[in-house]
Amino acid sequence: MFARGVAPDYLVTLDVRGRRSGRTISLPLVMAVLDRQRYLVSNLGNKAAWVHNVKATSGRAVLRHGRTEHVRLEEFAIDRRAPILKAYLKRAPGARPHIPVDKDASLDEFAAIASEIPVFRVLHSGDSR
Amino acid sequence: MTSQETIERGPLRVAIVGAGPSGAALAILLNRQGADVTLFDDVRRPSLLVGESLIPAVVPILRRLGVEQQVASFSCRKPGATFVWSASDQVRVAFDRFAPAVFPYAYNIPRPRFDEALLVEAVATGVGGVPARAHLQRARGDGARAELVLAPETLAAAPALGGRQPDLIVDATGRARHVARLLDIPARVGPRKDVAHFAHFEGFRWPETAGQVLVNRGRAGWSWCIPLRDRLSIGIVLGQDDAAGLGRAPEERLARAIAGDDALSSIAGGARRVTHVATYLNYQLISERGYGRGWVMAGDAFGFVDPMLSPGVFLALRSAELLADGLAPWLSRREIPSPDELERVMAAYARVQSAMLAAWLELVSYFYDGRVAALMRAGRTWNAAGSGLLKRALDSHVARHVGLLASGAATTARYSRGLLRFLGRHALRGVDPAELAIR
Repeated sequence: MFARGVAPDYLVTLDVRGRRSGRTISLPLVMAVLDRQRYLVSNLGNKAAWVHNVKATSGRAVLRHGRTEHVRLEEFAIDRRAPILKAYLKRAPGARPHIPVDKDASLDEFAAIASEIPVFRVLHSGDSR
Repeated sequence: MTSQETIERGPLRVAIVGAGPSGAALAILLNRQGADVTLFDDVRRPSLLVGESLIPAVVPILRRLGVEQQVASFSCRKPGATFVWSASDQVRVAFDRFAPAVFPYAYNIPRPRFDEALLVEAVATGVGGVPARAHLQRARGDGARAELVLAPETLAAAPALGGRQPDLIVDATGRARHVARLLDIPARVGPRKDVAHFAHFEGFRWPETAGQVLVNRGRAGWSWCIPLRDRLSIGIVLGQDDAAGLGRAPEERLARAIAGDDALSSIAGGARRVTHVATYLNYQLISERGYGRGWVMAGDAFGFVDPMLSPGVFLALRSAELLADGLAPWLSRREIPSPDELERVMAAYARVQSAMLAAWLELVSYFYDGRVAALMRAGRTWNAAGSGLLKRALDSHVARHVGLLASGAATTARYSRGLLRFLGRHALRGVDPAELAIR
């Protein structure tokens, strides 16, 4: 969608299958956008239930924001997360208390905490990049 | 120029500031009706929020919003409430006794999750969410011009608005009451200056039916016990001097209140507190003005009343319904109301919302000043003197109307309110309400 030049929705609903209940679990998430790529960030770190659920479904999930988008969430490499975390924190004031780095901190400071904050790149379910 | 030529076509553009229950519900309803809705919220929620117990009148609104099933999946079904004024003055209300006039159940909800479910629904159905706090500015507010506008940086943060001010700004900022503060709008404050402390507990002993809410008059103030799915919410509400007498820290006050109250200690004496202790102040407030040129207040931003009868979430969701229904004629025609028409819709809404808040405040006052408990005692002694068909019918009639009032089914109904007023004045049969008042 964004690649086709439409402004992104920064607040989205993520639907993912619960790894234990098998039921669809929905939650609102702030989307980070950098270089025309979309990312979802877990401000509660690796312990967030949705992160475990996404991993258990091999990244299969649905984004809803007026339309339904079947996506694949690909965990992003730790050493490339820093600029995304910075873009995310700028966009998501509600996440700031959970991330121990100021929104205006240097990329090095973001890199230092990157392993604790999972980042997923949003791919169309058919994409294999 | 004919009036036909002055009609502006296109979706009504609404900016809602705050995605609590009123803001998110209004966003869902307006979006479904075809409005172009932008919802500003920084998606930051405290882990504890007051308003964990719903009244039955909420359930039809949850159904209309399409979220009842979702809410039921994480909530505890509430069959009724028990009010304990003294060892001999107790009443146990089951909502299904008043069905079908009253919805037969309600829910006890983990509030942050409830709020999240509404936000999820709003975003999923296409409301444009902006994860930022909106900043508002005063404007001239004469003629066709709005009294309030979004600040330039807020407008810029919402690409969907395309740099144009919305037709309507809704203040759904809850108790923060951003517009009231910005425009210096005064409020009528209720007579009680209470403070509430509450927390969640595990390992408690529950003497009641599952989900039944317990309201207990204490030596000072009152307490609530709200069963949630896997824990119990316990709160105390008392005057600020009485609270200070229990200690300085909220944790100390809550612990001492539980230990010093027989009913609470029998439930939570061995329980483990699993959250911090949240504190709320100022429970009764109605804004003197709820709308202006191009803006309106919804939910708690307009006003809130005491939590004793749990009307908070209902009042928030009902305000969203009233606003959406008021705008429906224009939305269905894909027209934008003129500033005068918009103001008339907002005025009609504000009258109803003010009347609802006032009715709840009046009803709550009957519980605080002891008149409801006195009526119950008077009825009991009257029935003890022999019960005939007429007595039973009258008893049932009064109970039904108190049920209609307190369930939200008919809180503003003239007859029910008039009946309670009449009985409170003329049917106490020598029982002194002061003896049963909440200090």
